[in-house]
Amino acid sequence: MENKLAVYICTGYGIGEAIDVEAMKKVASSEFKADIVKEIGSCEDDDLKAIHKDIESEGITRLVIAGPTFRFYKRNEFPKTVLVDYANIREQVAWCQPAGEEDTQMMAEDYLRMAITKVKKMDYVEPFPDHDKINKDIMVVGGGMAGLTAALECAVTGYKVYLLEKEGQLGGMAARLYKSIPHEAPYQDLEDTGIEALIDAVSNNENITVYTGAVIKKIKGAPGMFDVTLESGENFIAGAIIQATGWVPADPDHLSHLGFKQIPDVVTSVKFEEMAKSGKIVRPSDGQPAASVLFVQNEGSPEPDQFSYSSSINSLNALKQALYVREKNPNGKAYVVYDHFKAPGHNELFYKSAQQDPGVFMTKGNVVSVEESGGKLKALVDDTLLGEDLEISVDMVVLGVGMVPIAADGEKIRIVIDAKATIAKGEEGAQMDMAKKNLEEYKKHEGTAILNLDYRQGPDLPSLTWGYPDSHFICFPYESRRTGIYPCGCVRSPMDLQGAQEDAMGAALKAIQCVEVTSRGEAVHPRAGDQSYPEFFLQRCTQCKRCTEECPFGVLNEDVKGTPLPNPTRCRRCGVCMGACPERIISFKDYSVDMVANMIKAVEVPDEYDEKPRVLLLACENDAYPALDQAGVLGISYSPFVRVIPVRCLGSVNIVWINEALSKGYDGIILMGCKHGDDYQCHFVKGSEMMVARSSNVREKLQQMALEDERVALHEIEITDYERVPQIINEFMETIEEIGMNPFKGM
Amino acid sequence: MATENRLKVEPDLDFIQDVLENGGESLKKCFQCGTCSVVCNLAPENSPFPRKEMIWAQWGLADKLTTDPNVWTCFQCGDCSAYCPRGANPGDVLGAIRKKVIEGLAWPSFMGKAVADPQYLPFLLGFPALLILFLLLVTGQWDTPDGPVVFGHMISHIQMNVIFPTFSGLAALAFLIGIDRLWKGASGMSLLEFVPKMDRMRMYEAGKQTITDILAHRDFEKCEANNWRRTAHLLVLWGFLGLLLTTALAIVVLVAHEYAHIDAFGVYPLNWYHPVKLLGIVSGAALVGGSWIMIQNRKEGEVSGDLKSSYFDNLFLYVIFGVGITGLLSWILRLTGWGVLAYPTYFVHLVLVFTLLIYSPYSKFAHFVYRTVALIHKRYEELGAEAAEAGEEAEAEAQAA
Repeated sequence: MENKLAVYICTGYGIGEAIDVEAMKKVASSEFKADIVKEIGSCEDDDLKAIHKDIESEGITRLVIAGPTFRFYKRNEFPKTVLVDYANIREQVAWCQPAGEEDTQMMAEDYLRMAITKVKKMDYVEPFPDHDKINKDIMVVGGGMAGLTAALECAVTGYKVYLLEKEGQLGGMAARLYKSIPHEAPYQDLEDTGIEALIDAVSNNENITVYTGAVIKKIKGAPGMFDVTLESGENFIAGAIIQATGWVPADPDHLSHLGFKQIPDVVTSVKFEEMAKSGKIVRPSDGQPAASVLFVQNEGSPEPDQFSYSSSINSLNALKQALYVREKNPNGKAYVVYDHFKAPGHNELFYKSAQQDPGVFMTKGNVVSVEESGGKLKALVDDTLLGEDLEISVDMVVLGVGMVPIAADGEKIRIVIDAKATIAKGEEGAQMDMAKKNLEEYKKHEGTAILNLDYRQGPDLPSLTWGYPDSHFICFPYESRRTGIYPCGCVRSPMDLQGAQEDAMGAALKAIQCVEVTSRGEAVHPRAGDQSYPEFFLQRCTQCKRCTEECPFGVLNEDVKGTPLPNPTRCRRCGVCMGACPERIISFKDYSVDMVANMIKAVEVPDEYDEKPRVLLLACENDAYPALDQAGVLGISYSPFVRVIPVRCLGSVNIVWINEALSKGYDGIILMGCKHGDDYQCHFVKGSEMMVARSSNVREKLQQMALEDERVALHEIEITDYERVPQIINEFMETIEEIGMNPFKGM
Repeated sequence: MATENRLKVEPDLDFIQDVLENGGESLKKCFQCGTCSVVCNLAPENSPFPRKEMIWAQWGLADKLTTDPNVWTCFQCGDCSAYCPRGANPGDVLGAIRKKVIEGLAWPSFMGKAVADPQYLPFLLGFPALLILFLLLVTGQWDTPDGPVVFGHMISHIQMNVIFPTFSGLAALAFLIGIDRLWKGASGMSLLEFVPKMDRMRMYEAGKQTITDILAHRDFEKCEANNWRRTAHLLVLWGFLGLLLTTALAIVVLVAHEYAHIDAFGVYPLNWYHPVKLLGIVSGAALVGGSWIMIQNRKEGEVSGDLKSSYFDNLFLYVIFGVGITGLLSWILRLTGWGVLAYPTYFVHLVLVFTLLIYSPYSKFAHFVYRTVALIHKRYEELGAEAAEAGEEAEAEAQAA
């Protein structure tokens, strides 16, 4: 196809007043020999239509618009026949720099050069091959409230569902409950769980195939083509997976001082629930009705972690069970002693109403001991709101127990597998010591696998500290670190039945989104709709395994030699593999190491004597780049010597770019990514963390070049940091001024 | 961990139910934030209330509350209720608790229950009515005599003044037993144990300070939300005390005239400008005015929710008002000479006076006594603590020297 480059310079939004548009046009026409160079009054409505018209009539194949930020435009604004980039001379030049200044003009021209360079390096994006052949069935693992709801939601939307339940019958924990906390206004009365009706609906839905007593032997493949084999030998293909494996009660062994396993009339809240369900709240010791019951919701043990899994659900459950006592016996007395009582949201109304019951007695306090005394249980409670330490005589004591997610930590299981492999090889040395140490530390994860995924990074979802599947639970609930696998219900977080149902609906939508979007060859999340995908020039691969190790999403499997085996449907298009690859063999059609390196080189770096330093700012396009745009919107100015390039994720930054910039004569480099660590903000979970890990290589490079450490700075930026970002830039400029210009200028 | 100093909890569900039904319906709404104790201008620093009283009541700890002097420090001024974030109205709840406490201190205890329960109201009013009818029958004049209205003709003042002290004595005995129970709960000692051991100067000081405070309503001054109650309550208190004095003086005048034949103090019926009569008129007007304001404001308080009133509150208030208004009316009607109206009115007046008197240890009237005693106890303890502190300081100084 004939290459035809068109460049449009927008003069609206104050751009025309701030910069010399004629000079900009000259850059396009003389430096880059653009075929069409035009001014436009704005980038919307008729002006935008005019560009569309030109594309059609002139046969434009490459298009650059210098004007607003790329975030201003709709995705796929222009037809696929045109390769487009946008030079951001509005937010990041005209709106944040003084009008008519030489430095402002240089900045605008550099952005135009970078955009034209980029668009010249781009290639047409095609969706990955065979995307139209993917399977759209959905597998749900777990037949409790969340799993049943998810299965039914998918089925009534028209998807074929495989529902797996490890027990002999459906219902899960919900089927063991007597009643549920209120979920309907006025949020006062206990409700039926509704689980029976749900089981019926699922059992009678012809779109749903139920496997009870089911254990997963292996899941091969990727979203759109999960190849599932059960231990029973059954086999099917699913497009997406919903993991609703639920929870188990935490084992309250540490509560032996409260009589657990010592006194028969001291039971767990789960046991008490079963008693209520059976219709008889009686003392296990003698079968006599329990007229007074103490519900313990507190710590009171030296073990600090014992209530790690405590939650608002425990509090509300104690309230609910206190009402059971009152329901069965009008003279019943229910004591609730808590350390923290949590009744969030409309549950406050339930709390208020339960509190009204004259036979429910609540206090903050610390139950320090429970012992048998004269046919009753004597509980000693310290630090109460009554201002005194209490002695309460009751028929029964119920211990609130935490909810532990039924999840396996895939990464830990993999460490065990690897360690065993190393030990099996029998080679002594540091690796062997490490393997033995790892095996010792993570042995308890062995054999815990649930999904049994055939993923290089491990057979289950990676987990957070407390065993919950890793996801950004505020921004991206239901997401996990494995595309196409969506945890919901109590495996994701403690929640009540309604919470589990809502969660299941969310996860069902995610699963449906996954199969639908994948079938169009697009990324699911967070770059939904992106058809680009990483391609590997494997002839030059050295099997260093950095890509397979560093991918936050376990996309890549390996062959025996260690060559990566791509799985585009697992991919989120963050480019972390591209940033990791020392051979630079991983590229997207519209985002590559070479492209960005050329953009860096397209900037005109003035020589030392001009006293105009240049600083490269690689900004994550999820938070840092929008923050820079917002600084412009607010008219907050910063040094005109900075040149910003948006990156998909800081993890996609290849060290080569830093080397290129330093060799080209840039005086410094600022890297802006998201917060990392346990409370990470990174859209790609590990991206910014990867950059931190790689920065030791950067430091090495700086040393080699005899450059100061301060020339490369890394910052964690949130989208709301629009006031901080200009400060960081200006302070960096001061640092550069102190340490002086890059001696490699002009070389 | 020690078991010995622990509060053994045994919630009294009936107690809770009673508090809920007698103006404390908001009791269980309390979630123990403690705002009430912070805003209360009367809460002592070392033992703030009413937060802890609220949870004691929620847990049905009747014994703790019956002997808690702080219950009596509260004037139900409503500051706490105004600031309560949960609408738990601690002021009203404490009012209901006081009612239960009066019932708990009652001797004989069935009287406490009878006065507290509206279904016994006909019997309560019937008893004094029958008593006076009986007196009329045996000593008085049954029909309304012609001529100038002279109440002494209907029923002899002297006889009245024999019956009156009898019932006063019974009431005083009941009060004494109640005070003893209250004292024992607050200090751990019955009066018999306490009185020989007490520091008499300190008790005198405590009594003097408490009573002058009560007469001036100094604590009431600190209330903000229902400040109107101070004036009305002050009128009722002074009116009541004035009428007590009037009655005592009237007895002196009567006895002097009838038995000592001394007419220098005046002759029955007294003229309106007679000092004793004047005192009676002014006091009666204060009582009627004060109680009328209280009735009106309690009605408004009920509508606005600022002040809850129970049967227990209203019974007392209406009887007080009734005593005052029938007393004044009797006087006016006597002057008009309309015996047909004057004598029945006087009859009603007598019934109400007896109602007030006989049931005083069991009705809200008892707060007059128990509050005074509780406050004296509190002040006595405070003075003791101050003295001990001063002693310690002096000792420390002496040691330092």
